Amino acid sequence: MSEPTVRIQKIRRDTVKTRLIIFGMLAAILVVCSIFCEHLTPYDPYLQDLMNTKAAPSPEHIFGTDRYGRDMLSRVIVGSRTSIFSTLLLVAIITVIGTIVGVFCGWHGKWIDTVLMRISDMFLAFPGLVFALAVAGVLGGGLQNAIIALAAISWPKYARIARSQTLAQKETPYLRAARLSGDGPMKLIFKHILPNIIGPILVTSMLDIGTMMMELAGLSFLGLGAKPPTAEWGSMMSDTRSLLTTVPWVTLAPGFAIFVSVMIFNLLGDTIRDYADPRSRGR
Amino acid sequence: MEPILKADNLTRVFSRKGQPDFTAVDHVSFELMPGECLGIIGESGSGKTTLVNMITRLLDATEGRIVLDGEDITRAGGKTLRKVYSKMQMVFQTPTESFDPRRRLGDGVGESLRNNGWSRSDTKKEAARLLQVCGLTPEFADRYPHEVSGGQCQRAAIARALAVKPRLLICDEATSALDVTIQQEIIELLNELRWQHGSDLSILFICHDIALVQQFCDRVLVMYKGSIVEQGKPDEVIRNPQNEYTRRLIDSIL
Repeated sequence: MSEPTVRIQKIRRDTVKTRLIIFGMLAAILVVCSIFCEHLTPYDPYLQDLMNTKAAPSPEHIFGTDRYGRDMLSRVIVGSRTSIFSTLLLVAIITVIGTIVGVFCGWHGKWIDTVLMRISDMFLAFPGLVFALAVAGVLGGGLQNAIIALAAISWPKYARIARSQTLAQKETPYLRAARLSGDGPMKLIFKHILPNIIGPILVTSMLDIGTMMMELAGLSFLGLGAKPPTAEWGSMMSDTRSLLTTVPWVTLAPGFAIFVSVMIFNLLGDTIRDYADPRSRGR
Repeated sequence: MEPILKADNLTRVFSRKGQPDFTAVDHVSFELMPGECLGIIGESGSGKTTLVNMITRLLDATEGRIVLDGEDITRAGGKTLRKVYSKMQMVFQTPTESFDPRRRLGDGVGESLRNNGWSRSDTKKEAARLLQVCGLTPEFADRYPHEVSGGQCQRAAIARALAVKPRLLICDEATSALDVTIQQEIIELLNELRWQHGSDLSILFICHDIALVQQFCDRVLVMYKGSIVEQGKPDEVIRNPQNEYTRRLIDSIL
């Protein structure tokens, strides 16, 4: 009886591994493309060609041209830098801040824990994007402020996870054993707690890359993120939405780029979660 | 002779809002002489673990005093406490969980040495030696906790406890999670260590198996509902129990 079960588990694990490799590669390609985006564009993304505006997709301009005659493909490629890099930066910021706050709360407990957790409850109580809009509105437009706004609303989730994980680790026998070995608090946190809680946090942040990319594009679309003429997918869609009925490709091209990259990062996050699931570990 | 460990009226009360206070350990006093092995038995919930947690200072005592090797450690904290831990070590009930799942056994065994300023290479050698003392091969230093059996892990845990050459070794149900033959092996190992160290090593042996206590300990305390209800030599306690609870405990086994 047990043999086929083991086989099925092995096959399942192998497919997870294959998926991890595929999506990892796709995500890597995306990031590499965004690093070297200037060298990959067929045309200058900011060069206007007023003789050839709103051109339909053709062999010369695969995604067509916009109302100033700029090559859409080049703009989408260059836009990847802003979109992907600001997303990665944003996710890194909220992961680090959330983890620091969460571990500190879980470790210290008492009133500091209560105060910080109530603050995070406050942030969680607001609908995310609406609150980000308000923050970005107060700070003024610009990509930097959009990142700050989204970071301000997104860290509590990580603080929650890190806190609960820290609380769970605090009671484990191995941590007591480490205490008895004479470890100070810093050593306990950095050598024992962090390595043991970082898995679920990283999985969450991988899954969040897709969401954050959408929200950043959303803020840009509403005019609170990157400003034209900077090529950014959200603001490019916003810029051209009035042309949707007549020249749909100028809106669809950046939309398609968002769709593809959000999809890749989401699938990568999903796969990493499957892979890192403790129940599948060690089989 | 000075006792190595002295517990004086140790009490722990757990209080929660809206609930009556719960006294887990109620004015427990005992002394442990150098080289002695003292057993504490009692059913689950009788306060054995709370008592041990207070002695190891993982939990604050509500009342009472703990004196280790002439030094009052009832309120010790921070650096003082870390020094205390070089005299007192503990072996836990769950062998595998008492090692960090992401670090090798050798790191766990050598951790206290590293904290005491040993170099990396010396620690490695000493960890290998300690593992051998406890009946393992030095190769176990490179294994992860989930890669070895419970018995092997408990041997490594004893090696870890011995690393700082403690004067007091606390075994909190150290054999409970192991099967009978492995239990016997661990007891033999502890016996061997006692024989080697003589009066330099005292053992506080928490257990709920009266037969093991009889085989291993010089003296036994019986705990029931947070208090010590009986104490004496294991043989005498078993043959002639004075207390109603002790009688029931012994009847349930024989």
